[in-house]
Amino acid sequence: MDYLLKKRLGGGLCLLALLIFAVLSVIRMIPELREEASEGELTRASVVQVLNEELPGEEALTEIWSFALTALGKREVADFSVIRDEDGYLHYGSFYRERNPRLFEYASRVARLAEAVAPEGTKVLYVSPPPKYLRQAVQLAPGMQASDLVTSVQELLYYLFRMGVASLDMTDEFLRSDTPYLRNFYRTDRNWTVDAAFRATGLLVEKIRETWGEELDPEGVYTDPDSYRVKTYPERMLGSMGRTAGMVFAPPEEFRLYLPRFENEYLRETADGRERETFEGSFREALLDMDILDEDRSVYSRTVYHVYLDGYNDFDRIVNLSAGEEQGRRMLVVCDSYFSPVVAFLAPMCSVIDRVYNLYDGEEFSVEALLAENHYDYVVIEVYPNNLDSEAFHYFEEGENT
Amino acid sequence: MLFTSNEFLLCFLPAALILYYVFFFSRKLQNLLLLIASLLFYAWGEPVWVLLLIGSILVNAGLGAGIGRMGSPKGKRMLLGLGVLFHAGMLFVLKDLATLWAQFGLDRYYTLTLPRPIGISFFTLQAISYLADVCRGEVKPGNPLRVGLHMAFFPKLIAGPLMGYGELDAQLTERKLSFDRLSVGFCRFAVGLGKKVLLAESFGAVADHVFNWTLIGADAMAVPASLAWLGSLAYALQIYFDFSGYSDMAIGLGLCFGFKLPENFNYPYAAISVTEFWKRWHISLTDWFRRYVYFPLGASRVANRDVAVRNLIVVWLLTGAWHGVNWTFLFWGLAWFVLVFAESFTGFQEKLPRFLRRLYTLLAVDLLWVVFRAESLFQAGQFFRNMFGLNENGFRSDVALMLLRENWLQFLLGILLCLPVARMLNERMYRRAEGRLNAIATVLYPLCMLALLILCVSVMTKDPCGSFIYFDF
Repeated sequence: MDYLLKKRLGGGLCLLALLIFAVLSVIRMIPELREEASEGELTRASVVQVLNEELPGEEALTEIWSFALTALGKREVADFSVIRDEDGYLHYGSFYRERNPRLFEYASRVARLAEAVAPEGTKVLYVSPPPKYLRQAVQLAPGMQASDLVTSVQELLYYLFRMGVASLDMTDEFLRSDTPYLRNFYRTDRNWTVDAAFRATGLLVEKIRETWGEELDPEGVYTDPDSYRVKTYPERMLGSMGRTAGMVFAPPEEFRLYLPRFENEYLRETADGRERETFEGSFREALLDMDILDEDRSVYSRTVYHVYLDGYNDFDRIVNLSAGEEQGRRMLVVCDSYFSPVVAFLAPMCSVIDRVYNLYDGEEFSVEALLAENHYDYVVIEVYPNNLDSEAFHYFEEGENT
Repeated sequence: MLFTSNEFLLCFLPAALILYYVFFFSRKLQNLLLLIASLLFYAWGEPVWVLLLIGSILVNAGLGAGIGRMGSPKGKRMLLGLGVLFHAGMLFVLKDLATLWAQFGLDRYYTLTLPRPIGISFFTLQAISYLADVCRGEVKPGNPLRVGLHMAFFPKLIAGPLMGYGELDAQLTERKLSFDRLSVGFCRFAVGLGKKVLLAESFGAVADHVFNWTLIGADAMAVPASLAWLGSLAYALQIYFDFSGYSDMAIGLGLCFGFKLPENFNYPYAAISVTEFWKRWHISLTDWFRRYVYFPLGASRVANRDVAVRNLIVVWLLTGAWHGVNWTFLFWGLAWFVLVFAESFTGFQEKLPRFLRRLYTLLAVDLLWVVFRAESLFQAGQFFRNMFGLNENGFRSDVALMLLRENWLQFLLGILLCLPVARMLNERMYRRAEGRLNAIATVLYPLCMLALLILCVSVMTKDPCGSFIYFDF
């Protein structure tokens, strides 16, 4: 047999495949490039971006990569940005933790906020949700190291305690429960499950009762799981870590959606960038984006966790149209997407909830602006441990002592 | 533009290949197209500095023509000196001046930041070699199109392989285009892509971690000896697969367009002496320094040994400085000089058993790669202390075992492919073209190549490749 035959076949096959792939890519690129050109935004960078975004068969390519990772028995993805523990849960990888020297300043900002609103009778509560990685609850292969932020969280909570700010560290509560700690989280995402978020809502209500003696849910209806119907969507949840690793490495998992059995009416106004939208109707109509759960949508398109309040907007105002006078608490929640289901579950217990994304750095919905224009009974601040940096504490920065 | 980017693979390369073969009827048009494509290739990454490249080509073509017309040898040498001054001066100012400025602490008074056009070290050497060859009368001066292609032919523009003008000039007129060359070239390109995307990137990730951990201090992340050795091994493999992968891609692309570019590597880690290592590593650079520095200085055939030693020092210091004027590169070049000098003047390595010769060579290469990779001599020193357990750092490391476990196939393939295993298999198949092994390979090879290409594209889509190491030089 001709020695060069294999090269001819190999080279020819590869060239043909490359040419077909190139033609398909260019065909997909052209409409996008035309649009960019018509808007006068066609640059070298935009061409590269369009090319990378419009790759044909991108999901199939991800699956091939994911298959290769699995076949090699790997436990890390993309240079340890994501690692897999012995139970198959994904975590952020990090070999060492750099000291966060600004934690005292962040606590000071929260304390300054609490001090500023105290004369109005507004109570401030800092909530630290449980981090997915907890050394005592997660088993990693020897040598594998995850991003461990517990000490940063504890340091921040200590400062808050010393400054007299009420705080709720949910980690201990979740560790003490009968449910194994990791079951409170999605395997493929950093977020807790909707079940865990629902439970956290109960913990928050309880904390407010314990600290200030106020009952947000006097009849225990809204924090009772029996008041909700749970709809299960098998294999619909592929979180951000799962999308990074691909479905073979991190198969999609079940998503459980909590829908209230009680009837309430809401008005929700959202602002995200320049977009303004208004939704009115039931819990499902006003607070949920059910399109995300559409079976025709690829699990790669968006995390279904964002079904609650779109995950995050710059700002949301939720008005409970069914609220009676006795339920008329007004609350400002400064949080990230992690807390979205909690905000949705709090909605029936308040007359108004303003939610501002804690990474929002604009003027219009800044915490100071909202406090100046509105009176709130409660300000709840939530920061996911991985977001503990200056970007998440965009308020009361004056008098900065760092 | 990177060979490992989607814009190169899916837009530039297919378009260049199609247009090139459309103009099959005219070699001149094909050459013109290649020059335009090469300038576009460069302009995509360096839209401003392409003007420098064009200017450099025009100056070089002009000087070459001048040298060709000049009657007296003295005049030729003067023009050559002018050309060397121009190119080397440009290289020094754009690539090294800012580093030197900082090395001497002058950035306390003024921070000097200068752009570093990519590939300048390579096209400068190409330019100088052309002028020297014209001056020696080894080649006739070419027109700007030919000189331009010699300096800027895109497969070799950024990081070589370096080639003499005469080698390319002959091919500009007389080169064979065939499906065999195209397919063999593309297979070579795919192999190079695999080396870079699947191997070099994995080794690079391991090496980068270990080198960074060396700097941050043991209180944040200790680096036990086993981890430090793994890091140095990973870097040795990274630089080989990164650069030889690039060279494979360049040679493969050259073949796709009908050109034969020189080989740059010949299994350097199989060498049994340091001198032999440099005959196998970055061959085109070693040849360049031999042809254009060492031989003109008189090489080792000089009146006394002192001059021969001086010649060696000059060559190795220049080799180090060509990579950059940091202390690490200068020390690295000097260390090579010491080893090559010791080998050539004492021949001590020849008295050692073959196994020990190989071990000594690998050890020397590995340790000197640490200096080469380190950001400073201090980091190199810390790294060596870690390697030899002098930092109270212990030996065993779970992280090292984990990194090995996570990359076991890459390390296994890396070590196997460093050795001439694939070449031996190929030679065996070539000798027994009718054998069963060749028949199996004929069926499996195309499928493996296709799988390799698809795997590379999928990895590039999810985890874009970094630049090539030699793009920094």
